[in-house]
Amino acid sequence: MCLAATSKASGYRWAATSIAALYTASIIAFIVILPLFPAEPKLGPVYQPVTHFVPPQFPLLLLVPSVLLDLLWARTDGLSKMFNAALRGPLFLFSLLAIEWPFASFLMTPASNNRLFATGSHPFSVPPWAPVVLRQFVRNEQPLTLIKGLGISTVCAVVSVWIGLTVGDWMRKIQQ
Amino acid sequence: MKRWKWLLCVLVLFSPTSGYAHVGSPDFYAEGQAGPYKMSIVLRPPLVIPGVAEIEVRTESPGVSNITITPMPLTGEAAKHPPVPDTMEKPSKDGQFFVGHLWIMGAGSWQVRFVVNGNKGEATLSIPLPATAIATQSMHKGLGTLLAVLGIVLLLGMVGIVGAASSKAMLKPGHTSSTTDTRRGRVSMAIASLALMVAVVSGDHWWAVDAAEYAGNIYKPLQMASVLESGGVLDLKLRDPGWLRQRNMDDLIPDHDHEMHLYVIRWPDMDVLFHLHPQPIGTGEFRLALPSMPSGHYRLYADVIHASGFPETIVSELTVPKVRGVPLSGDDAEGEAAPVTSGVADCQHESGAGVTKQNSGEKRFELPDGYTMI
Repeated sequence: MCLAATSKASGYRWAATSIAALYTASIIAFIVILPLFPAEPKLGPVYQPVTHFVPPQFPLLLLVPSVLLDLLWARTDGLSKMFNAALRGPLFLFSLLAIEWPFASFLMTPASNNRLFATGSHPFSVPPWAPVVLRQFVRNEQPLTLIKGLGISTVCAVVSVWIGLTVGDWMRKIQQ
Repeated sequence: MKRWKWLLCVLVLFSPTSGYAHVGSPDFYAEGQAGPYKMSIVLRPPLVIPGVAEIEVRTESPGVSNITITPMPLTGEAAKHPPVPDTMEKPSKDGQFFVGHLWIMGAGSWQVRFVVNGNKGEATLSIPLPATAIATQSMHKGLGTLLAVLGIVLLLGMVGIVGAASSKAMLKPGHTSSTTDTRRGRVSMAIASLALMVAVVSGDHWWAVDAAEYAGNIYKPLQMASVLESGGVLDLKLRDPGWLRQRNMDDLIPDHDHEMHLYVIRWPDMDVLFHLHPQPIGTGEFRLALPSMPSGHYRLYADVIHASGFPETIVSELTVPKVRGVPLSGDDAEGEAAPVTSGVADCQHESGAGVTKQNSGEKRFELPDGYTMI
C-alpha cells in the first residue's frame, strides 16, 4: 500500500525502489551498529546471555519486488486502478515469495550466523527451545495451508494496492 | 538422576530458611540466614502476571549497608542467567529495614536472590517465590471514563479529518466549496464513521477474547477427593481442574523427605491436629493408614511440590468416626489444644514475664521433619 501510494503521489520513476532501499539500508545499519554497544537484561526470565544490544532480524528482500513494480509502472500508467491493482498485487507477492523463500533457507543455516545476517543473536527472552534458536522450519500439518494462505495474501495484496493507488490519487489532488 | 537434581535444588534453597504462608493468601513470610546476617523477609507476589512483587526485609543484626534483589526462575535454563539486580531502599531512618519491588514477568516457580553487603562482608540468600495470576484487576472508573472521553474525541477528530481531506483540502486557495464538494465530504465522513465503528466493535471483541484467555491462566489449585476406606485407610485422589498445560501430577518431588505433607485439623474447634505423610501409590493418588484419632469433621491441607519447585496446597474435608489406627511413626506428629471459641483461641502461653494470655496464632510448634506450625 505504501509503495503504491508513494509511487502514484510522487510520480517519481523509482519511488518504490527508493523506499525499499531506505528500509533495507536502515535495518542493516541497525544490525551493524547496535551490537557495538553493551547492554544487559533488566527483567527475567533471561534465557539468552545477552551482553550487547540485540540486532533486529535481517530485512525482507523488498527491493526485488519494488524494482519490478517500478518497471511495470512505466508500462501500465494509463490503465484503470482496478486493473493496475490486479496486476501489481500478485506481481509483488509472488516475486517476493520467489526471492525470500530461498533466502530464508539460507538464513536458517549456521553460515548466516555472522555480523551482517546476525541470525545467532536473539533477544534475552527467547527460550533455547524456540524454533528460531534451533533453526527449525515449522511445517504446518495441513497440506492446503500454504495454498490457502497464498490465496488470502493475493486478495489482500490486490486490495492493498488499490487502496494505495486511491490514496496516491487523493494526495496528488491536495491543494491546501 | 534428574529427579535427584530437582530435589537437591529445592533442598538447597529451603535449607537455610523457615517460611510459612496462609492458604488463600499469596503473601510469603520467611526467616533466613544470609551468611552472618539474619533476615526476616516478607514477599508479596503480584496478583496479576506480569506484575510487581513487593519485598520487605528486616535485618536482625545491624551493619547491613546494602541489599540487592534479583528475580530468577527456580529451575531451568533461565536460572543460570540472572538479570541486573535491583537495589533495595531504606524508606525510613530505620537502618535495618529495606523495601524493594521486582517485576515478575511469567507464572511459575521463581526465586528472589538477596545479596547482602555489610560490615561482615557479602552474603547471599535465595527465597522461593511461587508466582501466578490469581485475579483480574479492573480498571479504575475515573481512568476508564477519561480514556472513553479521549477515545470519542479521537474518533470524532478522525471523522472530521476524513471529511476535510475529501472536500476542502482539494479546493484551490480562494475557492469556496460547491454542493458536490460538500456532498463528497459528507459521504466520506459517513463511510469513515462506519469503518471506525467496525474497528471499535472489532477491538472490543479482541479485548474480550484476550481477557478470556487471561482468565484461563488464573490459578486453579489441584483438587483432592478424600475417602475413608475400611480398616482406617485414607485414600486421596488428586484431580487437575484445568490450568496451565505445564502442570502435571506425575512430577511431584520429595520435600523434607515426603511427596506430601498432610495437615488434618478437626473443624471448627481446631482442637486436634495431625501432621501425616501419605504415600504415593500412583499418579495423583496417595494412601495412608490413619493413626488413632477422635471422631469429628476434619479439614485436610495437603502440601505438594512440583519438579519446577512450584508448591501447591490442596484442600479437602473428611468426616471420620473414632478411629483405632496405627501408632504414629517417622515424622508423623499430632497435637491437641483448647477448642477455639468465638473465632479466637485463648491459650495459656508461658513467657519469661510470667503467665500471659496470647492469641494462639503466636505459638509455634516445631515438628520433627523441620516444619514449624504457627
